[in-house]
Amino acid sequence: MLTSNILKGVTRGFPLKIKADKVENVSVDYNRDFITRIIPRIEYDALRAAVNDLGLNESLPETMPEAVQQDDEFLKTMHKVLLEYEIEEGELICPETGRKFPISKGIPNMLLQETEVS
Amino acid sequence: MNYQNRAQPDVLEQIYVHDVYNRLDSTTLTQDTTAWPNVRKFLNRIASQNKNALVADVGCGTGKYIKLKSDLFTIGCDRSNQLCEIAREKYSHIPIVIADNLYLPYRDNLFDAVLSIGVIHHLTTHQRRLKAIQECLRILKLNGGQLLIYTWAMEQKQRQFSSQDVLVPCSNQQSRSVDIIRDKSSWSSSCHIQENLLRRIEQVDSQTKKTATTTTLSMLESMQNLFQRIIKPASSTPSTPKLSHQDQLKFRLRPFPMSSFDDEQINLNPCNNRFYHVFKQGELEMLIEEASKAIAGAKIIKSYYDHGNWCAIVQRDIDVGLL
Repeated sequence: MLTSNILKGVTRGFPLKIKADKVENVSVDYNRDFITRIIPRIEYDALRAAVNDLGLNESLPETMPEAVQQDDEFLKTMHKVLLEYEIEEGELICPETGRKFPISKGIPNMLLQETEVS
Repeated sequence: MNYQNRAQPDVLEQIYVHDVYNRLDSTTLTQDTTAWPNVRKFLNRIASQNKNALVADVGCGTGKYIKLKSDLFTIGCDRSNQLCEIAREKYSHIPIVIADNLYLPYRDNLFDAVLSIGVIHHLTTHQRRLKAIQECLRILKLNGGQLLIYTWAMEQKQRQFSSQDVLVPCSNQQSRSVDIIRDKSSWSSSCHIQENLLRRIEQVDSQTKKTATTTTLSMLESMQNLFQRIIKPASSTPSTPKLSHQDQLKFRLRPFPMSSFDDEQINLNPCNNRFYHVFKQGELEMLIEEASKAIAGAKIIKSYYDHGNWCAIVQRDIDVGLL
């Protein structure tokens, strides 16, 4: 899910909407330091939207807590959402153009057609 | 393969880079597991300066640098879906995306570090190589993000490239590059390949019922130009004048040589050859400087030669850019 927060579509194309057909749960070692560092780079609203798209049973507050470092529960939820959900099959949809980028075997295909390139 | 609506350099790269990589069997591809020591050092430094840094490996192949360091979060992208799939099988749940170096699907100013190891030398024109570097710089964070580029050097100890644009056989890493034509029969086989490629292009054009003439002609020209460019003249003629780096390849007729490699099986079959533009000393720096004009704060901080590659580290620092 971290990947989907980094990816963008054709020109501005962010955030990409996710349509997941197959989601896998992965177990990843919790690295508090990593999560604390990565959070400032996350587009938080986009992440919440992604959680919504996937219908995950995770609750992320509407706005990020002020003292993120101290909020262990929030950090653990972020860890889960960012690293422990893998979309194996599905689509990423560009908000600008509606263009669908397929995800197959866990790999998004972000290649553009010649006609989409200015 | 549908060639309609494709620009010429694109088609050349499709045939001599992407199709070749996609055709190689997975054992050949997974054999390449050696990490360049200096790339490893670069990553070590990035990790020590920014713990749990975010890194992008552009043109990551089978992912050898992605899982190299557990104290970095590296996301890979590659043009070849086959390579991405192999990487994903090798390292389960590795973050990897199929993408084009010229249109990186990443947000701006995001990564602590970007790797471009042995990638941009596969791009057939100056403009495309330039754009690739600009894309890599665009996604670097504004306060000290670093890009490491490795490209194959023209200046080599063990071999001699007679031209900067070459086709290299990929079955054997030690093979000599195809930059000399052996004799007339090889030339006719290469002509044959040209004809086949052109027939395919024409077929596609006629299928779309468009007037194929201009497209086919320009395709034909660029194919011819590519073959001409990589064919070296006889040793008695003076050394090739520098080919200017332009998008339109210049056409030059040259006489054919006597080969100095008698025992060599030269094969211009696209199945076996990958396109490389090998870099001359100073060329990479010039390219980076040109690319940096469009990207705020980018500056070369180190350039060096490593095992047959010209290498450079480019740092992005918005404060420096404002000076």
